[in-house]
Amino acid sequence: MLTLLESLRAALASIRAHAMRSILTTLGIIIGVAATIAVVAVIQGFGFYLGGLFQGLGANSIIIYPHQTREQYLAGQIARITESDLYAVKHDVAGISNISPVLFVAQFAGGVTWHGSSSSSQIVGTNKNYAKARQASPRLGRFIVPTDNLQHRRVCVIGQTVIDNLHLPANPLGKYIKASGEWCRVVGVLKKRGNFLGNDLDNIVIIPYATARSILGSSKPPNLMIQLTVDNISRVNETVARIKQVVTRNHLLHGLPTGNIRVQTAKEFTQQFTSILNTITFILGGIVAISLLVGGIGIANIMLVSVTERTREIGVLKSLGARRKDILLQFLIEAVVLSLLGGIIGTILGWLLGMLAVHVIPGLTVAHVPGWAIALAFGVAGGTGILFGILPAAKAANLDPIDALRYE
Amino acid sequence: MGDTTMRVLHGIDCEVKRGEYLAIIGPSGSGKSTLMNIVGCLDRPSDGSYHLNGTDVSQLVDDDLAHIRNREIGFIFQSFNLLARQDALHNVMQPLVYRGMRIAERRKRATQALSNVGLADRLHHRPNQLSGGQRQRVAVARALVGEPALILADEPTGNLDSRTSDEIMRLFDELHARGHTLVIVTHEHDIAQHTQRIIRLHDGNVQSDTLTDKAKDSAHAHPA
Repeated sequence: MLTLLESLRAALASIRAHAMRSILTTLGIIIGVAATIAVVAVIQGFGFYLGGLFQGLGANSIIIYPHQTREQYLAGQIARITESDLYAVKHDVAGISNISPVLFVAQFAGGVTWHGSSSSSQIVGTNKNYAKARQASPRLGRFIVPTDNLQHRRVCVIGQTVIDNLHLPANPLGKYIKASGEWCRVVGVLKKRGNFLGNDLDNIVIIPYATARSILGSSKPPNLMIQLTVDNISRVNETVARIKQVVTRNHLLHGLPTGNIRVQTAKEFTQQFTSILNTITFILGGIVAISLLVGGIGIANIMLVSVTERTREIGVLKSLGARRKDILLQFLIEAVVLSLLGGIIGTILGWLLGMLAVHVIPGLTVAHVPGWAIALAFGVAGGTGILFGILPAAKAANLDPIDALRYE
Repeated sequence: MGDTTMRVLHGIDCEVKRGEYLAIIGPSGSGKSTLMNIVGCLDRPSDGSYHLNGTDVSQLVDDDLAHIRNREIGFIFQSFNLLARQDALHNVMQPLVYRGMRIAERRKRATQALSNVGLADRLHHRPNQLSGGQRQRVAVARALVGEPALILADEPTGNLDSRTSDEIMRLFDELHARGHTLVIVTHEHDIAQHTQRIIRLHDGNVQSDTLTDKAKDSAHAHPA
């Protein structure tokens, strides 16, 4: 333990003595870690968005949402689900209930704030049926009621995370919070729902659908998602087919592009989401492996230079009684400290890149860097240091003291 | 170069007693360095044995030799060989690190050793902020701090001007007076004359092993 601390001190002194060189050396690690953290942040942000669409769904839930392929997007065929689709489905599809519109209010319009605290929560405009389809019943107060929508009331129902983030009192009923620039009175608090696919289901502000529409402005019809439940779960497939038929017909009637909506059940979604996550994880693994390999070679290289430069110093330390393992430890720790330094800088840089991505990529509302990504980045950076530091350190430890002392 | 065995020393047979002050002199190529490396436990003799403080160290493995160097030998080099990035105090503390000594104790002993060589006011100067003589004093403090059985100086005044050389040699005389065992390897006769006994090497053999006037003086001063 004592020698470990001593080696750490020596390593820091040596890195400080060559500050510029050390930073350049760790560049490989910095870039690798930064890339990983940034990509994780963005992916998690998308996951936050996607997961939000399906959070708390029962097995009988169906979600209708707009989706276009890249080709359709380039051809200007932007997918769109309108209120008329909602009414068409409501009236023409049998065996469904709890139908509700879901309208996301973008967070870059200001997020949710109260008395100087802010929360990057999802803001959802919907109606009373949402509570049943999403198992979102209130613990305090009430849920959105039909009159809220009729009168465009500025009210909201919030999750526990919002209370925590905004430092609201335990019973926040009657308080006014600012959601996307509008003051809304808190009328209900949801029961805690926990996490779903890594998303905090309690980080949500629910407002009446009509209010959400007014916040977004009336210049163009909102792009919706529709959520409903199937009464008889064995008829899910038939219901999905019928919904597609009805929406397509409605789009044809209104001159909207067809074939770019998705009707998805909870089960399907989970499978899709998992497969996407697996692909992303695989790609991430590749990026990390390559960049850390490059970074590790950089560290091995500079450590070899350092050993050669300090041959005489190693000879002196040996003459003073340093054993093989003392020298080995000193250089190994130096390599590990270098890599961890890269890990720290890379994490900060990656986090900043993720934040930047939120502002640049449309549709991405929040970037989130999970603790495991940081732990992984550090673990792998440290491991790289050990792996690539061992060769130079062993070279230093095995130097003959006489030759080392005589080295010019 | 490399692993070939060169027979540099031939049948050197001598004994250094505790508290002795002696010089090994000889022209270059006479085997001084090789003898010093063996005496300093940096190298093992290919033949024969070397007993230091009662243990035969000629057959020990590298890490055990490192242990012996740490405990029993204090090196002083011609080019000082201080750690450039560390201040005087940390340079002197370094040998104690390998003893697993606590930092407070290390600091205490190193401070004491530095004030013993007259550098109490230079604890936090780095080698490049010190004069040659001061650097060599730091090196002496570093050699002394572990209370070794033997202080081994390799051309200790080789990089110093004559005035500073005298200063360092007076310091050595003082150390001798305090009871330390000193072996100085040099090619300068003036330096050797400070000691009590001179071993002269030539072509790997002991050419002569004589007591100096000083030894005779001190024998007069302290009749045994």
